[in-house]
Amino acid sequence: MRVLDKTLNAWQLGILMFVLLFANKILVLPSLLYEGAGFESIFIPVLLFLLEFGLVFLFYRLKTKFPNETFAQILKNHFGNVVKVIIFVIFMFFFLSKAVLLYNVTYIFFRNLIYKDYSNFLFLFCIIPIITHLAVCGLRVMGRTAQLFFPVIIVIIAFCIVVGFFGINSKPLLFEGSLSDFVLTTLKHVSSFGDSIFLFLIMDKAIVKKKQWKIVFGFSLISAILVVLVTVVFALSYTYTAFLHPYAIFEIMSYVKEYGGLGRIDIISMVVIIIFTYFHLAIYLKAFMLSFHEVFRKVNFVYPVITFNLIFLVVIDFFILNLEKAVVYGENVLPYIGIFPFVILPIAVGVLLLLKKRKPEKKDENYMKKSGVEVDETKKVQNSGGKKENLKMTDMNTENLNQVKAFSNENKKDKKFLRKVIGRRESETAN
Amino acid sequence: MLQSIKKQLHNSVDLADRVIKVGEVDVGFVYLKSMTDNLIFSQSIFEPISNFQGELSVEELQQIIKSNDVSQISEEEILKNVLKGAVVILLSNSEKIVAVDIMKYNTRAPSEPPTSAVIMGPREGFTEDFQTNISLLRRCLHSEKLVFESVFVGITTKTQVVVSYLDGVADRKILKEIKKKLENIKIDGVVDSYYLVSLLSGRPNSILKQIGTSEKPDIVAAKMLEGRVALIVDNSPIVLTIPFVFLEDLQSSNDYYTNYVYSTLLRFIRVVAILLATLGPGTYIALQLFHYNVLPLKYLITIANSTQQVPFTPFIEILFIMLLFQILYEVSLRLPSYLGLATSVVGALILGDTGVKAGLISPPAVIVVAIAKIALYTVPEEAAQITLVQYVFLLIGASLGLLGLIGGMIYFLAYANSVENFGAPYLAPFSPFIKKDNKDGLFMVPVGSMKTRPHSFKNENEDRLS
Amino acid sequence: MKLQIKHFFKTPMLLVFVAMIVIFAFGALGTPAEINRYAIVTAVGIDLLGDDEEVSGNKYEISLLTFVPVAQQNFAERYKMISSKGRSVSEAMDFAGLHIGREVGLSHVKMVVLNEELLKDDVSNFLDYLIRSIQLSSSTKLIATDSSAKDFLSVAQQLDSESSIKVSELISYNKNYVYGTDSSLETFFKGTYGPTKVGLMSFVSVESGEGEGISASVIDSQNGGSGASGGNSQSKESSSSQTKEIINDGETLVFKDGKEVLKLTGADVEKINLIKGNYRTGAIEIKHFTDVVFNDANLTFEIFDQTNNFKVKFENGIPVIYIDTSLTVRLSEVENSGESPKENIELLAMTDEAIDAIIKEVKLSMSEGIELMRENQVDIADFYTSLYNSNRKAFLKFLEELEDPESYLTHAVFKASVRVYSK
Repeated sequence: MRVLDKTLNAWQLGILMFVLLFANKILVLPSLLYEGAGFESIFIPVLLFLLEFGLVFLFYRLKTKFPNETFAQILKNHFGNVVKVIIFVIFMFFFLSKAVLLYNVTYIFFRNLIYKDYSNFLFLFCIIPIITHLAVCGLRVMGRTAQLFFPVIIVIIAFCIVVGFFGINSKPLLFEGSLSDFVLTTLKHVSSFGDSIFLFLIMDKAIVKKKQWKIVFGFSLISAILVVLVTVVFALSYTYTAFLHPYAIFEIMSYVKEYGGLGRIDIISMVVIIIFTYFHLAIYLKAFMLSFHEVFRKVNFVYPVITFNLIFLVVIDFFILNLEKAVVYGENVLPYIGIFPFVILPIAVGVLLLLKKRKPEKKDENYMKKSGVEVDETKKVQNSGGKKENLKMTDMNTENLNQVKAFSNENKKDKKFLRKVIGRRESETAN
Repeated sequence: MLQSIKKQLHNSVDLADRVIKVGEVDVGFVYLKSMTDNLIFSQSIFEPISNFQGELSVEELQQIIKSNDVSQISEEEILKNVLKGAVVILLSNSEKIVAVDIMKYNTRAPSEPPTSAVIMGPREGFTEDFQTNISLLRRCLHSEKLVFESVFVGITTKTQVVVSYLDGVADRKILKEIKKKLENIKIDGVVDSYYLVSLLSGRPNSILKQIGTSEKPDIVAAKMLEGRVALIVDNSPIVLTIPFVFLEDLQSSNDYYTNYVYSTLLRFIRVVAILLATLGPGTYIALQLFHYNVLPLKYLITIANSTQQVPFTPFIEILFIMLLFQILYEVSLRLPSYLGLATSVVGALILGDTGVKAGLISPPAVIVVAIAKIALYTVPEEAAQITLVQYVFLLIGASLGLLGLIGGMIYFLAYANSVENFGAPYLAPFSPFIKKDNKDGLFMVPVGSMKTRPHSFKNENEDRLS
Repeated sequence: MKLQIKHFFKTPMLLVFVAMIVIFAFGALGTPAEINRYAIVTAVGIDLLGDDEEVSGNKYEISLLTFVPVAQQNFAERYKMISSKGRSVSEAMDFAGLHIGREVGLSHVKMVVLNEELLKDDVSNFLDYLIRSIQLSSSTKLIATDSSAKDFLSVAQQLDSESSIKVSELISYNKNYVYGTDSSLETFFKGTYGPTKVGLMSFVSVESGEGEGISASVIDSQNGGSGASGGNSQSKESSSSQTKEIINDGETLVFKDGKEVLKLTGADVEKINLIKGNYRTGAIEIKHFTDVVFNDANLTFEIFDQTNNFKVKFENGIPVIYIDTSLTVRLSEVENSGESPKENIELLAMTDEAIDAIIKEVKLSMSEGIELMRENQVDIADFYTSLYNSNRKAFLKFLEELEDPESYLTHAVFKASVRVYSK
């Protein structure tokens, strides 16, 4: 019997990873990279994706070592509360600033193309309620909805890339840019990557069986391949005019316009961008909420939502609303944030893993000592955690009592499953 | 005693009470003329009793009545039995009371229901009489595991609701939950099974349909075989099935009675039709108001030419046409069929054609609305919901354009994803994706390859084909 | 009621929805269709104004072929020409919007027509406006013409309404089937900003009288027509109609650094195409050919397929470019001046003599093409990229050693080998 868990399963996690790794890299990034480093810029995403996969792998290691704990708990246990709070504040800052950049770029894109006469207000009116709804409904709803859109997205992107291949008509100059250009451009755009640290925030909610890790890695790999393909197609189609064409996925479709009967199919690339923007911003908001909860314990979910949206509104309305500024912001301000996912976090996680590895016997002893209590505790934590989430969810959706009853019924069923899972995990760790 | 019963029933006109003397004993009959079979009464009850020689006792009475449905009842049950259509017999020499069930009322014979018609397949539909419905179901499922349990709902109507399921297939917990919910319902009356729908739904305020409805025994039998529980409500030809997922309405019983590849095609067409119906008018208005530049030149020219004469703005125009269609639909539904024809002629020919010719409405808008309204009925069970969503998306399209439309779509699907009824995710098996259930999802495989029961909701026996 | 209000405030999305209706939907009730707020332009013409006009500071005159909606149910395409003047193209566009009272919508522009006079200037300066305008598709066709762009457009419009022949389709046809010259905004800019700095543009001439092109009778646009014209509107001779024709014979303008340097004829384009390897159609003609089969015949061969391979070697610091061409040809026409052929020519395999003759002819054309490029220092076939990508260091060194780095074609050595297959 399939247990429909409150948490994310491997497929949904994989699809969220796909959105995370793909969404903000297909619009302006290829063009900026080409401007910075010439044709060799196609290797920048490859390089940065390797780093990104390193992060995913680190998460995998951490998850297998600490299967039942949240990242916050681990940090607190090993480094103390202060470090934990600092890291989660950086998390908040990281996701907020990236959300601002993503919103800006998409806003400018649509403003230029299909919303000539409409202000920022309309955009925010569309985006804020929907990302809030997605984030508040929870990861599972988000994952499921993304799952529903996934086939559409993948078909359209494949179509875009195939059409893009027909548009290729130029020979690029190889090794035109210098190595320093390459390194500089890589560093400038490092902040476009590193989204996979979102995984650390949902460590306890992602339930991935041992064999299913390849699904998560697979989806990440697919998105990386697609991003690289888009970059390559773009680099080959707009070899010397990349600076005139800032919107990669849209521009590579523009050759379709020539086939008169079909009209402007390039609009479907816009549809994809819209879908991606919603999901990606929702994930950012969710990440912000999760880290907010770790920093300010036990607050209503309303506070992080309002904080996020307010800062978002203020920053967007008063500081950035044109492409130049957004690019400056993305290239000169944001890269410093890139230090977090690619330097601080790996070091922290590496230390954690080393600690775990170095003291296996001691740990075991502790385990043995506490085992009677601790295992029970984790059970309780799991169960009550589940319940709490359920209650939260009902609060959020303002449901009636029936729903709570239904949930608690389900919870009883879930208990069995959890017991099984915990039992299995225990045997795994014992092995 | 007779007087008190008469009083309780407010001297109803169809109440018959009669006292005859059989030997030394006074025998009283109480029954409702409207609910009992007069012929059986006179032949099987009245005749044997009046011809009886000697001292009549309750035991003898039960012997001589030519009926198999004779029972002894207590005094409190008299009223209930009378209302059910039984003849209650009172003897002056005994405290015991006998009831003979000779209920008879006019029922419709099973006929092909107007909804869910099939081209090739069983044509029988449920009737208002629950016993007929039970017999129809029994004919589909000759199994000792087929269980019918009765619950009475409604303080005034005391409507009989039959919970029916396949033992060993349906999930006990779901069953328990349904029974509990039914018992907890404190409503004065249940006139039709639809009264139960909102009372049983997990989210009664939601616009989503959360309980399955069907009018045909073959469909209900198939759903019960998948592990669902059916609720047969007396007086209603619509049988409810629980749990419900959206996919059920996408499937039609026709799909199983024809080639599976063709069925797959039809299901795709249904999905396209649903998209057209929900998003069509909204997208049209969004393109007109916000994004003229994504339209190809030729379409643009057509639209520009044909909307030149229209005195309204595009939004008012399309609202007007939508309203017109809705009114026509409502009229044609409510009027008797011979008048319905007249209205549709007036509606389609005169209003539509003349409206276009007079320049009040433009042909593209009429086409868009017509397509949306027709596409709606590829999935007739969801027509009400889709119509609502259609209006919502029309408003969104006119207010926010393409961005809003897609945002609305994401919102709506996320909302549907958050609905779980009796443990069944609303959009299963698409999200969450359940591989085994997708054999009967958008793609269909031959029935022989559907080896398991749906995993979208719980059931006790997975295998259906070994 | 109280409960309903409570419920209402508990569901924030409902609030959002109601807010949407209040803020936006009521506004939308009064919003006219965008089609009625924008002028849908399908072609843009740009002319340079004469010296007398420059007193007012206006430099450019733009003509916009604008779609005008007609209230009727049948499909009807009607266009009107709008022209305006301004110091820059964008200013002129703004004025055009003023003249018609609608915003100029460029998203459906199929072609941009440029007067030849204008092209003596730096073209990329004002084309910049067009390519930066994100509305405009980058595959918009660029056409240069010898008469004024306004004239060209009025002829084009007339043609369209008379026969629904679209001039932009002529250019597409040229690109796809005849000379392969892709004359769109994108390719022009790609060439101009690329390493060779060479951009190509199709040249279509407009002439009076009926000749070999497609013709249309037009009212002389300089004397009237465009009612919304911002400038002179002498309507004395507006009734005089004359026949004008559009002649597209594959002429191509070559730009270097955004300035016109060379006009190629169709034959020149064919020669360069032979080098580039994208030969579309046309023929190889061999005159006075005699072999076993033919006697003093003029043969025409049709090229079916061509593949070119470039190989670059640096010998003593000097690049040698090997062009390896394989051609698939078919004999399409024979003009016998002597006796008629002895056997059915359709069934004959080509003789070695014929193949040799073709090779000779092809090599001749190629060398002529290369000579043409060398003379004008325009690297149309983009040898630069091949040289650069084959050996960057050697090539850069070679360029350094040259007095004029632009003359690298002159100092490079070309060697061609041709193989011919018959179909």
